[in-house]
Amino acid sequence: MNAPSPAPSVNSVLLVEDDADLRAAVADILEDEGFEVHVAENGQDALAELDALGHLGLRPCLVLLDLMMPVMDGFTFMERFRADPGLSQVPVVVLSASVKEPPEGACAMLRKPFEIPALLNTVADYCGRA
Amino acid sequence: MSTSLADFLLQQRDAIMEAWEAEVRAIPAAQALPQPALRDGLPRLLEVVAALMRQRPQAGVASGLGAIPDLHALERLGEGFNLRQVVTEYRLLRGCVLRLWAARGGAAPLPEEERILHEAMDEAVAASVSRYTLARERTLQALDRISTAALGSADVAGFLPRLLQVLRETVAAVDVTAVLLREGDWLRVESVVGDGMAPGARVPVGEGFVGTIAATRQPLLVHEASEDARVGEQVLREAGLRALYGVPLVLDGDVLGVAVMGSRATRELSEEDLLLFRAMAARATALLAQAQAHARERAARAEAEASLVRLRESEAGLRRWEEVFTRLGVGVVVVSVEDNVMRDVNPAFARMHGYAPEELRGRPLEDTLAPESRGVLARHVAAAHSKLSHEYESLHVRKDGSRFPAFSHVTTFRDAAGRVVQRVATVLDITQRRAVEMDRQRLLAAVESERARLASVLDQMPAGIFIAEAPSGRLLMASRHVEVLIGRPFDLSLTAEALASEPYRVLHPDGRRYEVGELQLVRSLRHGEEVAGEELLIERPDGQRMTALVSSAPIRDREGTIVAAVATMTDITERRRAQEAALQAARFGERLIAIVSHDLRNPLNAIQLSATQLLHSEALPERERRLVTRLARSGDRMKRMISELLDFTRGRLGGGIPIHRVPGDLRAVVRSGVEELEAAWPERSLRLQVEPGHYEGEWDADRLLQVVSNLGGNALQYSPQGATVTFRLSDAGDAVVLEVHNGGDPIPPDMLPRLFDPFRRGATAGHGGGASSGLGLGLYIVEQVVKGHRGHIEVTSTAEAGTTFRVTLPRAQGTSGA
Repeated sequence: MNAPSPAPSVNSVLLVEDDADLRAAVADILEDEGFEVHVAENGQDALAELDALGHLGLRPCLVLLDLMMPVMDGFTFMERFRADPGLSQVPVVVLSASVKEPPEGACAMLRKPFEIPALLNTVADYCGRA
Repeated sequence: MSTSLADFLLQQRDAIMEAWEAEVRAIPAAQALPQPALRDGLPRLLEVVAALMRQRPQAGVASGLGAIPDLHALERLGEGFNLRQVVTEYRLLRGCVLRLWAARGGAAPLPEEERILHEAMDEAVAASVSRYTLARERTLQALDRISTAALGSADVAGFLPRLLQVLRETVAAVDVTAVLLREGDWLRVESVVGDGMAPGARVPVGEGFVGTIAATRQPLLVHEASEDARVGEQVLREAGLRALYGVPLVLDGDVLGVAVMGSRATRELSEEDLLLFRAMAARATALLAQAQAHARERAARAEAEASLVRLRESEAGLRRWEEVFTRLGVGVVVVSVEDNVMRDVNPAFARMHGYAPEELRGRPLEDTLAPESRGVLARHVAAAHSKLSHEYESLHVRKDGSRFPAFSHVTTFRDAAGRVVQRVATVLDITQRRAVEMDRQRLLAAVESERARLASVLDQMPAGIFIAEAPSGRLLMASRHVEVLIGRPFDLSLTAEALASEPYRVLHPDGRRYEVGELQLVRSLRHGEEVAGEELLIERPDGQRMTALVSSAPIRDREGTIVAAVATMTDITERRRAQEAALQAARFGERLIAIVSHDLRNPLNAIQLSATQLLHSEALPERERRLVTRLARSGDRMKRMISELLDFTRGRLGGGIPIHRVPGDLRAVVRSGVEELEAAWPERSLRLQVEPGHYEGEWDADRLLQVVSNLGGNALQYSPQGATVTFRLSDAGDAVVLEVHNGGDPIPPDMLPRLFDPFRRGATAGHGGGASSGLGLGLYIVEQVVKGHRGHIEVTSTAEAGTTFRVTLPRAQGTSGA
């Protein structure tokens, strides 16, 4: 990421989730609340999306990250993400059914299945209301 | 016819001698003499007388007769005639001449001739008397000297030299005298006086001079010994002898020996010397015989005395034997060979058979044998006769008919020809020995059958069993199952140590081969180690590996010394495989549950989020709102199920549900739980009773909330609609106790032990709503959470008191609930 680190957008969220239905449900809820939701199916997609946003001079205020995903899982994504000084400032909230501890660098974790209030409260903690 | 007496004597000489002989035979000494010896010099005497009648000598007839009367007297002396008989001979001769002259019928003889006849007869008588008397006196003197010599000589060896000495002194012309005694076909020079013969020299009977005398039993006289062919003996020929005379020493027809005398001076020996020699020889013969008889008698006496001594000794021995025979504890019987009759038995033999010894003597040996043993007696007798001794066992019978086993040792006694003359048997009553032997046999049989039973039991066992003995290490047995297990015939000649080498392949579970010292049987045998259930692999000939569980232990004697070791080997291949498979299946199942419940959360989350979002829509008509509410509630139930499944798999896979204890007040947790239940079961009556006390401690609030929720939900679900569910919290010092009670039907007693098992459900169906997911994991999770707090849970359930779950929770991590 050679682009200069843009200022984070207050209502832009990157949702990384391989389950299409859940991805759509979460995106709908957040969009209903006025968030701009970027989606990615796995870690690799997410990195590409972040790169693309970066080129546009955009940076999300929060990454909602599933852990168990094909192609590139959440853990690998976190390693790459943290290695990028431009991105490492962006908070990451892990969405997972796993009992395992969240990967290093994650700010919080929402255990699946989570409910709408929990989702909205968590997102509100890191981003301003749209 | 006219004839002269001289002519008549010459012509009628034989007739005169015949007439004379007929008359003279009346004399006893004359009877055995042959005719020439009897007539001797008398026919010649008649011729000399006739010659004197013709010459008509002036000086008388005495000198004209010469030596004839002298010699005749000596002959008669040697032939045993006495003087009267010699005189009678001449009287009869004169009488015969005159009687036959008168018988021819002629005239009286001429006076001159008749005078000469009478003068000659008288002169012959006178000369005979004179010569006879002189010779007899000399002989008597010699014999007297011989007798004197014989006196005081007890043996032949001492007597003979004296005899010969006397002989040489008596006969002046003799230079050498010797006596040879007969020894079988030889003559041995026994004694010599003078030079010429060597003592001890031997001559065969029948050869040479002395041999001829012994063979012919006649005296022999030679005149020139060195030239005469009859003298074959070298020593005699070279002794320089001229006259040599020998006589046989004959007694009762037996030739005892030969006496010899020789002269170097003269070739003639006088008749008187010869006669004397013969008389001395005769006397010597008698003495010799007597001496020999004495010697024989002495020898016989010595022999008899020796025999007597031997007899005395043997008598003493015999007495000893009799004593032994009598007192011996072993039965002894002497049996005669020809009729098998008992000649003698000792008291022990008789006692053994219930008889007195005299009752058995003379009876057949068979009488002491039981009828069934009699048949083989002949065989034993034959066996005894074929060798020196024979041993056998047989059944004997007593006088009272009772029987007993006996051991017999038979010895045969033989004569010089090797024929068996008698048998002696020693007989031993072996009842005791037989009894002991039978006991031993019984014991052996018992031990053997015990062993066989043990072996068959061991063989029947589904485990392989080895027993090895110490210190040899030799394998005493291996049960049949061993061969099944190892897949090859088992070699019992091996030692325990050999099991570590080919062809056996014993491996550790990791495939490494067993060292000798690692074998369980060897460890028990050598070090007394007790090994319980070690796993090993055995590679069979087909390469297949069998898993076996091996245990072993030493077997010790009373002193504690290891005498053997036993090892059992169980084939657990199948069990291990099944266990492995079950474990795999369980792991797979749990993993499956974990994956599925995890993956279910994404769509579930989508359903919940969407349903909730929809419910937020104010435009939703009432009917649709009810549908979406049901959708959301089912999603919620599904969420709990998944949550429980995850807890369960966590409990199974991860070593228990994770508990994070933080300080807090349990009352708040319980109140919160009860409130949630009231919200979920609005139609039911719930009651919370908190006893005074302290409820601070370290708790995992979320998990304990789950406990309150599950126990409460359970109580509500399994109690009647109108029944109150009571929660009671009490302070128990180090612990806090939570009780959840409900009335209604009790839990069936057979369910109580498995109440906390996973996937169990109560018999009564649930009454809707509430906390239960319906998977039957609620109580399982409760127990896991309580255990995670190091607490415990118990349940009592009766129709009268209802059902109470009682949870004891220690306040801190280090303390445990009392």
